[in-house]
Amino acid sequence: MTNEKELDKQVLRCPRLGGEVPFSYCRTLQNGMPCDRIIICWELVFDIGAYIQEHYKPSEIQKFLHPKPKDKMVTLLDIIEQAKRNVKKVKKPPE
Amino acid sequence: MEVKKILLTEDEMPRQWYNIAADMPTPLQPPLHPGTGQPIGPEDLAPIFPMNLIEQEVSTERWIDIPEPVLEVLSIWRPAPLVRAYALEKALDTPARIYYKNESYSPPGSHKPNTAVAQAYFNKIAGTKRITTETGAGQWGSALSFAGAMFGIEIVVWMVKISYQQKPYRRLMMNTWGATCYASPSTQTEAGRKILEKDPDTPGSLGIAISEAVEAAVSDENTKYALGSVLNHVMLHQTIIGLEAQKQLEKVGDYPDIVIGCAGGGSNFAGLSFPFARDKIFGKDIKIIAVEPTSCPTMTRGPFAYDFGDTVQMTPLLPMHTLGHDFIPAPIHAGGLRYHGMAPLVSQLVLDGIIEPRAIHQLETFEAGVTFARTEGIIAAPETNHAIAAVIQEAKKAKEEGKEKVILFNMSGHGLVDLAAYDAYFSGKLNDYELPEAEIERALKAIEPLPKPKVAEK
Repeated sequence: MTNEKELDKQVLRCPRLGGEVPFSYCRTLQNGMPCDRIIICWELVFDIGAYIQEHYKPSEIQKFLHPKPKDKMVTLLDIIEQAKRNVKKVKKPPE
Repeated sequence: MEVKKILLTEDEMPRQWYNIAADMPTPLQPPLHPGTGQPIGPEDLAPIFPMNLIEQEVSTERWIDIPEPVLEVLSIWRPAPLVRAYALEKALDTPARIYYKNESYSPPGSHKPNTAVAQAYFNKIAGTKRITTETGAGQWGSALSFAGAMFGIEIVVWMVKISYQQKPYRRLMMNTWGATCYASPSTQTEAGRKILEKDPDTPGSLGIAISEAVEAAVSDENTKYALGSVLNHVMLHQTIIGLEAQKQLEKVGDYPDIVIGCAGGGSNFAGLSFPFARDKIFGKDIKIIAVEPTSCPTMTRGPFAYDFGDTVQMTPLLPMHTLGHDFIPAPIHAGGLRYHGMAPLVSQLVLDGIIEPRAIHQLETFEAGVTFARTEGIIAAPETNHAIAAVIQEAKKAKEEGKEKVILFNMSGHGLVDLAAYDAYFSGKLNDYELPEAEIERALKAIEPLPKPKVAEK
């Protein structure tokens, strides 16, 4: 229906961010892979199903569409642990 | 002239927040620590939250006192007016009486400072010198910046880079209130530097921004982190909205048949609805509707109708339609059927049948927002438009049924800093593609054989 560059410029309001984003944002949000809401948000704009099938392997699709959701608090704890590791790394004296 | 605004004086402001955890039909199970498998304890959260807020997070006390200094700051705009939407009623030619709680009066223009002020205060008395946070388009960041200014606490905000570049006004609001705002990913943290090393042009994400804000809090004992949605203490602080609304409706001798709020992170919805949910738990006949965005009609028409992804953070907020751990839906046409693994207060109330979820797609929400602006005069935030769209649906239904329903909703914020969204709507950039009926049927057929969640059927 449209070429890739035009598609990338299409805009939708991101319910997570609270602002307008281009399609290019949604298809690269998770470390270069699409946001897990990409179908929910874009299905009415163009045939996102066909786009995904064309551009990604089934294993990739499973991974980005179905990230294992965690409780908010558990997510925070994961981030705290990661942050502690980052802080330790920064504070490590030079060898 | 008819009374349009129902007002309370400062003396009539609620002196306590309502904690619904005390009245939950099904008490929440504590989340488990990913490392130990044991329930998360206060010490696990201590690196980022002050103990007084952690105590609120796990409290099951029904009423929690609002400290006087918090009330003093809230009184800058509270009690917020309850407004009868006569013009909207007239435009819809409905017998329904529509009321809205106008939370757009706060200095940052939304409900968010209700918890930002409380969190800044509790941090202040706990000795915190600096609070960090992340923000998407800047609503939460600006609310916390305002609150920090009121209590003399330094605020540092990581704003997702794509918004930082596109949305200068919220950033300028933060700066005006004295906060520091970084585009995320930034070079200020190890988390940000790692991402930038890999991809210097990344637009950022909320996930990265939260990592930066948490890292900054963990790095310094005088620094804590604040979150504007999802957590129990945030919901608690917002209940002042519903508690005020109850007093105001009592003044005019009305009581809602339907309570409506938009549910992103859940906090504005919880704030209005929890005091009424309490009434429902104890026998009142009220419909309480949480509205969430979707653009897919299979969500609203399908047997597993709603996807309540956490619109603020990385994890889903409202896990209402659990299909089981071992179920992996087909990748295409099943976006709304994902397994959701957690049960915070709002989602548990959905599971218990106290709250009814509803999904509305974006064109209908903007249409509703424009109707509201052209009748009641207020340009609502795009998120708030979801609630307005549901109000209009219910008001039309009341007309069809010839019933004088009382509808209450939360006008959670104005959209004056979100006019780009209206521009996108007016210029046709948000045009919907009408999914063919056959395609919808095909999609619904595909999910027919799937196991039905025990609690999803009404």
